[in-house]
Amino acid sequence: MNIKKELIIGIVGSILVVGMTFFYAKQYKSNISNLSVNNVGSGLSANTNSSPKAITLTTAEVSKHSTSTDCWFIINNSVYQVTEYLNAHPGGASIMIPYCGTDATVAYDTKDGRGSHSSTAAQDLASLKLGNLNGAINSQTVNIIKSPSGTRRGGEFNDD
Amino acid sequence: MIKLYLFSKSIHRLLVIIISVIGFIMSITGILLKYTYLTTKFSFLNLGQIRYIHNNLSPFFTIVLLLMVATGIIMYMFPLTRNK
Repeated sequence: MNIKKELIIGIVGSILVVGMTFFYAKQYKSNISNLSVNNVGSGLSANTNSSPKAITLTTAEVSKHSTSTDCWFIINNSVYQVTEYLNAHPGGASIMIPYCGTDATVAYDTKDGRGSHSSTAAQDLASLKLGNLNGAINSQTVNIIKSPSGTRRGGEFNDD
Repeated sequence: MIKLYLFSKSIHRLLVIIISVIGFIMSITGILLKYTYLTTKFSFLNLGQIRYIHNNLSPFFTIVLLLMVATGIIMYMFPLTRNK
């Protein structure tokens, strides 16, 4: 193979890589828009009220928040509001969305069967805690957790 | 043996071009993921999208790097065997 051929193949490969980058960027956007379309008309029952209202964090209440636009989890008997975090999750939102509205303890502890989460992930999770399971919270707490500035790090999450 | 050396050299050379492009994209996306405050400053940057690109390009980066390592070892070893 002469240098000219190598150069041509290399450039073609590079163009392919750039093309793949654009493809993945587009694919991500379409994935997200599909999720939004599928989840229209979903939950947010606690968030729509302007006046504070008491919410009991039962499994039934958590199961109402089972979409990508309103996602709550139960992990180790604590309830977490992870809607804003979905986009910041290092493994991608798609891996978390199936667990929205459910008890994700096993999935979190075993990293969906692929190991365990880091202490940084535990810190991020703690910042998203709504309260203990079967405990009562104020609907304003949900709003605070939902807004990125309500999180410990001003909406910035680590990627570890 | 010399054919393998020359072939490795060709493969290595063309892979250098490809890995420099993937590496450039991976490093940019990696920096943006590590220092997330950059994405808050520039609203057009989507952290989820950046992560998705970084995540999907990483296997290709690994494959190309592995091939480069393999061809690099051949290129390194060949002159040593000739000297003996």
